[in-house]
Order: sequence, then C-alpha cells, then structure tokens
Amino acid sequence: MAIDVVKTGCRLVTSTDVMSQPDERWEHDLVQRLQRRDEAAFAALYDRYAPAVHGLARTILRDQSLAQEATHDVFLRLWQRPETYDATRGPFAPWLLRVTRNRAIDLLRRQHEQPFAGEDAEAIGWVLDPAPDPADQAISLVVREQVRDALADLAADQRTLLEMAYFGGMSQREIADRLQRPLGTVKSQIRTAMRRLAVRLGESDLADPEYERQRSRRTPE
Amino acid sequence: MSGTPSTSQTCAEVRDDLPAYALGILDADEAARVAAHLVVCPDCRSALRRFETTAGALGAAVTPAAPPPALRDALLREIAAPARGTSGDANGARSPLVRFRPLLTVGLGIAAMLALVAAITFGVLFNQMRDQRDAAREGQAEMAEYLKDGGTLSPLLPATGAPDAAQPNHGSLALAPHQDGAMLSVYDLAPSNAERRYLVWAQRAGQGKVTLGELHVDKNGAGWMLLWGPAPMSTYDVVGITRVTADNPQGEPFLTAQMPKPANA
Repeated sequence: MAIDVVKTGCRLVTSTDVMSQPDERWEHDLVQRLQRRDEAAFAALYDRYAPAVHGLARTILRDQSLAQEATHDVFLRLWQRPETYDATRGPFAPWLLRVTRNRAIDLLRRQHEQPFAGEDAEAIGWVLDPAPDPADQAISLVVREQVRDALADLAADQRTLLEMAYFGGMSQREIADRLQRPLGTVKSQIRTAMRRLAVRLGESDLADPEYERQRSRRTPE
Repeated sequence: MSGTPSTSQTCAEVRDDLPAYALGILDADEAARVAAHLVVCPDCRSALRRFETTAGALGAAVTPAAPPPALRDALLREIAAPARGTSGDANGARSPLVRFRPLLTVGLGIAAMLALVAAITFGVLFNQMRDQRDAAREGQAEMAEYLKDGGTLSPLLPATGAPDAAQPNHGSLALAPHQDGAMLSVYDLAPSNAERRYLVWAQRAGQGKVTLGELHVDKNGAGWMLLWGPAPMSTYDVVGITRVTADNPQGEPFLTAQMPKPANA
C-alpha cells in the first residue's frame, strides 16, 4: 500500500502512488464493471467519489446548484462514456477530479462569472489546516494531508497563482494581466510551483533543475 | 528525453510548458504546439501524464462535501431509464454460441463447425454494428437534447486541402438559441489514439484560430463535444477540426463547418 511506503520510506513514491488508493484492485474492478454497464458498480463509484467531486465543484463554482449540476454531469458522463478513462494513463481518482475541475470551469465560464478575484484567494483556495472529515472515503486523510503539506510548502505567492489557475481556470496571460506582472514571470512561477509540487508528491525527475541547484547550495547534505 | 526533432518545438521547450498544459492554462496557440509535439514524443507524453496526476492531486486537497441524497437517486434513475442495450452489451457476444450449443452436443461435424465460425463472425460483426449504431444514437441523443429548445445545424465538410479521409457526412455543428456554447458531433472517423488526435478550433474572418480543445473519437468512430470559447460561439464564423498524426505533427486541416445562423436571427 502506497501510504505505508511513504511512511517507511522504503522507496521513492510517486504522485501516482500517492493518488492510488489502498484498495485500488477493488476500484479497478469497479471501473471494469462500469464499462460493462453495471449499475451497481456505478453506484459504488458514486458513493465513493461523490463527496470529493461535489466538494471540488462547489469550491470552484461557489454555488450549490451549479455544483450539483457539475457533479451530475461528471457522473452521468462517466456512465455514458466510461472508456474515456484510460487506466494506463494513471489512477482513477486524479482523472475524475480533472474531469470535475474541467466541467466546473466550463460551467463557471458559462455563467459569465468573474473567474477569480485575487482578494478572495484565501476564501476559495485550498484549506491547508482543515478538520478531518470522517465521511470522506475517496481520498484518504493521509493522502489529503500529504497534498496539503506539499501546497503549504509553496511560497504564498506561488500558491495564489496556482489557485487562480486551478480554481479560476485563468490562463497564464489572464493571470499576468490581472496581477500586472510580466507574462514570463507568471509562467516561470507556475512552472516552478508545479514542479515543486510534483517533487513533493514523489516525481523527483520532474524537478526544476535550476531550483534544485539553488536549494542544494542552500542546504548542503 | 528523446529529443525527437520532428516538430518545431524541442523536448526542452515543451517540458517547460507541460505543467501549464496539464493545468489547461496555456494560450490556444501554445497548447496546439504542445499537442502537436506530444503526438510524436512518447517521453514528453509520459512526463505529461505525471504532471496531469499532480494536477489531479490538487483537487484531492479540497475538503469534500457530500451532495444531497436526491442527486444520487436522480442519477441512478437516469442511468436505469434509457437501457441503451444494457443487457445486450454485457451478453451479446455470447448469444451466438448459446444459439448453436445443440449442434455442438450432437457432434462437431464440419457443418456445425462452419456454422459456429459463421455465427461467431456474425456475432462479432453484429456487435460491431450495434456498437457503432449505439454510438451514433448516443451522439444523436446528445444533439437532440442540446437542441430541445430549437436551434440550427450546419454540416461538417472537408476543409480546403483536407486528405481523402475527410469526407462529407461525418457530423454536424449545432447552435442552440440563447446559449453561448455550441455542440459538435462526429461519426465514422478513425478513433483517437496516441498517434491520432483531433483538435477543435473556431475562427472569425480575418483573425487567428482559437483552439477550443481536443475531440475524443471513440473506438466506434463517434464523438461529441460541447464547445466553449472566450466569446459566445455564435460570434465565430467557422469551427474546424485539425487532425494531428505522427506523420503530420503540425496538423492538417480536416473538417470545417460554418457557424449556423441563430434560429432567432
């Protein structure tokens, strides 16, 4: 189980490991059954992931009925087109959350909302010290904690940029315009933030070489 | 890193853009260049998958919130209702064998073997035809739902300079009144895979193309996509599909459709 490996440090884990669930064989079986149009498998996947999907949609859309619409659309699409999930491209949970985020951003754009207001960053950003939710079955608390730790490790500015991109669906150019910063600076900051996150989640070979060089100079082994 | 030199961008340049590509925050022209490179570079595709997983992990940090129970009930009713060949999909492949089981018990004579082979062949072909029909029906159903309040359709036609594979009658573009988006539906196209991708764009006369995303064509050759652009889709003049392949990583014009005139115009 990936989480035990993280704790014991037996090997380097990757973000794929981090996002894989302890009972991923059970989950894999559910997805296969879903592709055979098994309604019970659909219900089981819904029960497992609906809180994570709905929570993400609600955070992006900040509207209860739109969040429900997004949740509905994501699961209906999963039922209608289960083949769009390709297990060879990674674990199921992050794929489903990507689909959710994309659908929520679509709805956000459709509503003509201001995608993101910088001053509200904390209000719609990641909550980095949340109370545990015992009802959450999809993403284990250890995994959630690990991702939150990785986010907390970013500079506040980098986190704000990721929030604008991830929750607001803003392009790098839009972010640069909004913050009145050079586009190249925004690109570089987002790139560095994503690479740091990837490294913190175990993808060490995705590190930004320049950042790693500077860090090793600062903290010699 | 393979350093595949077959696109205008090097792997190093593309790697710089992969984090933003995984987040979907590149400008359309940048995204198109990355997509073209990804078609021919398995190493960059592999790196992208890991950035995509990292991007997916960001969603895991959000505090979950259970939706109301009524949503679950509604969804379960909805998926049970259409019964789109539900039992047939699961059992259809076995039915020809079941039908011919008595012959097998009598003796495996040549005639029975031929019948079995014919039945299996028929079963496979039948299943393929049924899957294609269901896929087409699904696209039609989506289109019907999209146009339930009225709207106009425009056929997809081969783009200027398109390859022979681009033929008329591969789908259509729909525009519903009072909607900012549009809907694209295709059928009878070669399925999407790592070496064949379909990029959808919109364009106004005299302006550059705006990439709207990637259209997934399933194994039955069908696909549909709701289109959203920076501006309402009705303000564009044409929507097109560019096919990107390993042989042509820059992409080639494939199919286009004139934006339908709004029904209430």
